[in-house]
Amino acid sequence: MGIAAAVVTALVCAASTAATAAAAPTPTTIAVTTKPIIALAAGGGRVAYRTHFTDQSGGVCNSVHVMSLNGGNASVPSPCVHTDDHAAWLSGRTCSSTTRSTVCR
Amino acid sequence: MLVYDSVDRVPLNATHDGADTTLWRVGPGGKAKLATENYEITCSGTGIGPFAYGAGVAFTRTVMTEVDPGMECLLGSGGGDGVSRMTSATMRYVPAGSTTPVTISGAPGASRIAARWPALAIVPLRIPQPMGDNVTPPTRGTNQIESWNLRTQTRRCAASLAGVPTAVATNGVQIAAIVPTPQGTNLARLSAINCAHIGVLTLSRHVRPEIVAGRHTVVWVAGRSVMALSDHRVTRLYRGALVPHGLTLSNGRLVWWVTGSGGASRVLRLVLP
Repeated sequence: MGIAAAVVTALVCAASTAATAAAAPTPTTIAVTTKPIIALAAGGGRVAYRTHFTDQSGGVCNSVHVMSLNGGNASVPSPCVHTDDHAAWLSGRTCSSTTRSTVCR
Repeated sequence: MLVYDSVDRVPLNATHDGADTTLWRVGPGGKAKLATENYEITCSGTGIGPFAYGAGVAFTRTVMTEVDPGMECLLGSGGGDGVSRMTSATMRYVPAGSTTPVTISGAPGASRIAARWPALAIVPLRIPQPMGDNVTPPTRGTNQIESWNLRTQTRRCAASLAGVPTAVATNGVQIAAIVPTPQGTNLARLSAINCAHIGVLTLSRHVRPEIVAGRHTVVWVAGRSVMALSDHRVTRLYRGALVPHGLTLSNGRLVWWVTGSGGASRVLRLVLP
């Protein structure tokens, strides 16, 4: 490799590194909920999440929300019902979370 | 298309509760019930374990059997609770547009599962496993991965690993898994076609059981960071103040959630570079 080529390579590498640093991606918040999320799945341009919450009287609120990957209003195919629902999974990539750990399967 | 389960604990008789499990699919055509199973807790019955969507739904159906010598549940002899084990598990598939599950002959139930048409990656369940007082089936796995073809519903291959995978993903061509071993946590990559080992990468200690596989990139979570392997190079895509959970990938966009100390949660999206 000649000096000129080495300089060009160095410049390209420097530019590449700088571009990577400048373009360091920042995530976008697409949903906010006051309840703990326990599962998440995405596919076909949509994202679904599941919340699970037990209130002080022991009532369980387990609900599934579906929305566009771009955010916006969520539909709720499985709304919160105060029953003893132990479900924790969604399709595709599924994870279950407790206060101590998350298990994905 | 979205698939989710519901598991309702309901009073069954004077001494036992039951677990009614339903698998649902929600899509443009509305909501459809794909499977229902029933388990008498600590006694016997059936349940639904891990499932995945890949141009249809592949799900684990478990069978629980009463194993106490007195057969308290069956005979009601001593008035005890009974003791139950998960004694078998199979894989079922509901093709897109159908609501009827068919058994994939010879396919094991999954402790971890991933699908990307036509590949189905299964970490087989360890059989048997005790149920205890649990409502849902246990998910201890074996140190293997089986690769299945959903189109032909036949097994392509199987591979033994250095540990029991805690997470598995596939992009249809490769299978990637997080595999804790005594020497460290590995990122193992296999061919989905013949299970040949493509590569093993030892990761940092704080790797979580989260992994997704895109066409050219494998992404996982280490500590509070989202990490990626692409073109034989490991990069940190993002590091936040909270631990990412539920990492998933769709159309080149990563999605995960974070939960704060108060329980409130946010869903975050990041375009894969």
